[in-house]
Amino acid sequence: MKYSAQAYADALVEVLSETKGDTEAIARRFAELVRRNGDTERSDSILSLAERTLARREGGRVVLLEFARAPRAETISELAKRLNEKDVIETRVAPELIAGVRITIDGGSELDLSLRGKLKRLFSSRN
Amino acid sequence: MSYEIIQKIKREIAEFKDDPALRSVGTVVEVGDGIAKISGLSEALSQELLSIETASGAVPAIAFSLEEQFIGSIILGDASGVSVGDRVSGTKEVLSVPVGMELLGRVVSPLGLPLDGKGVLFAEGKGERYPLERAAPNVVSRESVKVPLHSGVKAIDAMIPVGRGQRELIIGDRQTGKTAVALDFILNQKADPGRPQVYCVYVAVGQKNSKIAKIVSDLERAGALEYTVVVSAPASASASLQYLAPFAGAAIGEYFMYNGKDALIVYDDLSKHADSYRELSLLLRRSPGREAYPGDIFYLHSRLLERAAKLDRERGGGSLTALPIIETKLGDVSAYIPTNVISITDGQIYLEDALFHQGIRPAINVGLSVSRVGSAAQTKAMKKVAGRLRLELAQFRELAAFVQFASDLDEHTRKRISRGELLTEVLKQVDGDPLPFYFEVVELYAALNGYLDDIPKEEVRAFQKGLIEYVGARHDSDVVEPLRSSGALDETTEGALKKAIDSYRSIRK
Repeated sequence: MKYSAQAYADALVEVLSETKGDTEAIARRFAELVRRNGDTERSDSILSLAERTLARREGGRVVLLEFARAPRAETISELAKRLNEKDVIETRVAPELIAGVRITIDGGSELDLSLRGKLKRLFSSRN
Repeated sequence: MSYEIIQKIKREIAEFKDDPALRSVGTVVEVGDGIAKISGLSEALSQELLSIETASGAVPAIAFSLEEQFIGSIILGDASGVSVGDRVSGTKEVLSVPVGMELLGRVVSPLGLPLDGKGVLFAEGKGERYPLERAAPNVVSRESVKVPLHSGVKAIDAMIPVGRGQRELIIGDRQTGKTAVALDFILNQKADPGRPQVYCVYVAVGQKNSKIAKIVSDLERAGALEYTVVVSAPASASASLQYLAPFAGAAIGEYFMYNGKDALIVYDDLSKHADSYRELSLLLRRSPGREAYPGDIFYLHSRLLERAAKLDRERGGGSLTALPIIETKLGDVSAYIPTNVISITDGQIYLEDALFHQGIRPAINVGLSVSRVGSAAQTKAMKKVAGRLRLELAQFRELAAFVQFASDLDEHTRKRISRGELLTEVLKQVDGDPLPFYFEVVELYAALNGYLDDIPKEEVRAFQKGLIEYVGARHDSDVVEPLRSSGALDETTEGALKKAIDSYRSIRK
């Protein structure tokens, strides 16, 4: 592991913002670099960090919406309207939430409106 | 019955007011070897207790190094359950252990959990919590060391006296009796008349489980476990627990100190503690320095040992005496960790491999051992009796090389050598049999005033044993009691002691 995931992400965002040309070629060369350095296993975290960095640079945030069950498309578009235009919205189905939704902003702040979170708060308040 | 329980649960749920709010979270991005790297949690505090939500439940961790992008944390629970992607939340609390008198006689983990199978430590709601990391008492709140902490080992109490609140290092190669000396200190606190009880904390870091079990059973057999707490982080424990153990022990010791009591803490040993810290630091990719230890290894031990203190009367007058142990390799006291700890402590008891194998036990090298503050705490009787001891032994050491040519030496040198040999014999003592200080005074008085000069070397031990029994049985009121109560050897007591030794010698003949 020569470089941290954040270093890869910063490099990718820098190249993408400076080069207006062939993004496909940039992506191909970047994937080749990651593979050559033996960091393919970390590609998910590199891309998620790149996405976050890009969103932040554009003045937005990465908002992760986790639902206990697959939401309807209208629900997501309704929620998206209430967020900033520049925000990047990711959705995920997380059955472990039992019911409800959990919203995570930039991987650092969380609003847990799920049943699982509620049960956890109920039990921790009794201890 | 079940109906009542269901009703109670229903009531609890009905009364529960949920107030979900935006909270700070992080995600595990890397995990292995008891270490987790966490992204997010940008408001985490250094040393904050974190909670990792794994599939099998919450696992505690400590925010260890705060970096620009990540937090390096050490996992305190079962690390095998932690996986990449697990959510982490902060608690806004630093790690602490429950403390109280209930800990006496117990064996606990560095997290304050019982390990001895004797049940829960505290009744519900009882037991204060003391943080593992706490600033040492400042200069204003301290008092100079002036009350002795007797070890029961003649060589130590006579030449390297330790006072309450002092930090005295026990250093030596493996198998030279370092732990035995520290345990003698603990055993001797059972009966030190005229002074408050000293509560002891024995911290085992990276020791074999069998050794810890033996120490606990030895303490129990000698009745010393009732005033002792054992903090155990054996070799089988993770590096993080071994790193935390001395700090947990210090927190327990501080409970006694801040409550006006005297406490003694043994760190057995800080070499292994430094190794565990090195392991954690390397796993967290901190820059390695000399011998691959991180740059703050000195601060690690100085902040730990600075917590030992003698508090002034306004703050209760309690004390915490620290006996750190350091294992050297091939007697090299100039290695990195030994020199660090030597410079932090107020003196050292140096145990030598060669002396140990010559049968001199405890194998204390009195030339290299020193106590920088303890002499102010030495009892008057001991000071009066042992004043000449160090000088006579130093003179003997100078001539020791000529012992094998003894027949060719002049009368004066020969006398000095035989006297040195006699004193070395007098200072020999078996493990686990500490002597009350008043009997140490009696033995040393007899040896230093020539009463043993005509006793053959091989009979010295039997003579001393008989003398102690005789003085204890026949001269309790005129020798033992005045020494015990005043700690001084006045003219009357000295006269009585001389008579007692003379009469014992005449009986023995």
